[in-house]
Amino acid sequence: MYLIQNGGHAVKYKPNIDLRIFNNYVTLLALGIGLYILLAPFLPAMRWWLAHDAPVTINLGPTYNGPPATPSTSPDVPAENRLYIPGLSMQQKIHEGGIAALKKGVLHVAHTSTPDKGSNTVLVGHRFTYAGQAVFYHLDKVKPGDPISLMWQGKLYNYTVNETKVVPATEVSVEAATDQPQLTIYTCTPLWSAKERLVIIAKLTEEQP
Amino acid sequence: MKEWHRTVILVVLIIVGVLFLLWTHYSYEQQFIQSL
Repeated sequence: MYLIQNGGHAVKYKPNIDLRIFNNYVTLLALGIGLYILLAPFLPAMRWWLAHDAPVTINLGPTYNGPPATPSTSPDVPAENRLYIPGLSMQQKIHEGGIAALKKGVLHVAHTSTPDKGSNTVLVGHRFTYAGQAVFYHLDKVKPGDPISLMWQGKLYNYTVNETKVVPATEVSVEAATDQPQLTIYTCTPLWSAKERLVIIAKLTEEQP
Repeated sequence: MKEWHRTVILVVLIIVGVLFLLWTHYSYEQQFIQSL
């Protein structure tokens, strides 16, 4: 209870305790949402500072720090197709399907080739999104000469980054078929914007059964 | 400020926050998938 002076008269005021408790919880919820809106765009950067030099392990064998990875006939061959970018300490499952699969992570663009067929294999993923995985947040850190590997249907394909470039969002030629086997990865750029596309083109250097 | 005023302000803030998240997500996604 509070005692409030009102025009010289003492007035007893009973606060609504239940509503106050409810408001305290709602305040915590509002603060949580606010903090998430503010901090989520920077969380991948924080994780990068903490663990960007963690080694990438390919399930076929030993710890993988760069090409060539040593394959084996281990029964641990992953059933799913995976993308490995050692320079980003990144390994991700490659999803198939429509646009909805983008929310899960890395998506193989359905109308493009696959590593076993040669030509141009195209993978895409989000740079940043509040809902879903920001798998390619650090893709701008990939440079020419960096190794990238794909585990595709039990076979390991090693690529070397040949070119990185930024193209307009309407530039669909990056998905065109090629004579030589190559891997194209693209995502949005600049960070937090879908204005343009950051494209990584890697040439096949080694194919291991 | 009365307690229910605080309730209204907080609920409005939460609704605005959630709408902002939905808007940024779907506008970004729409722009991205247009090129796929």
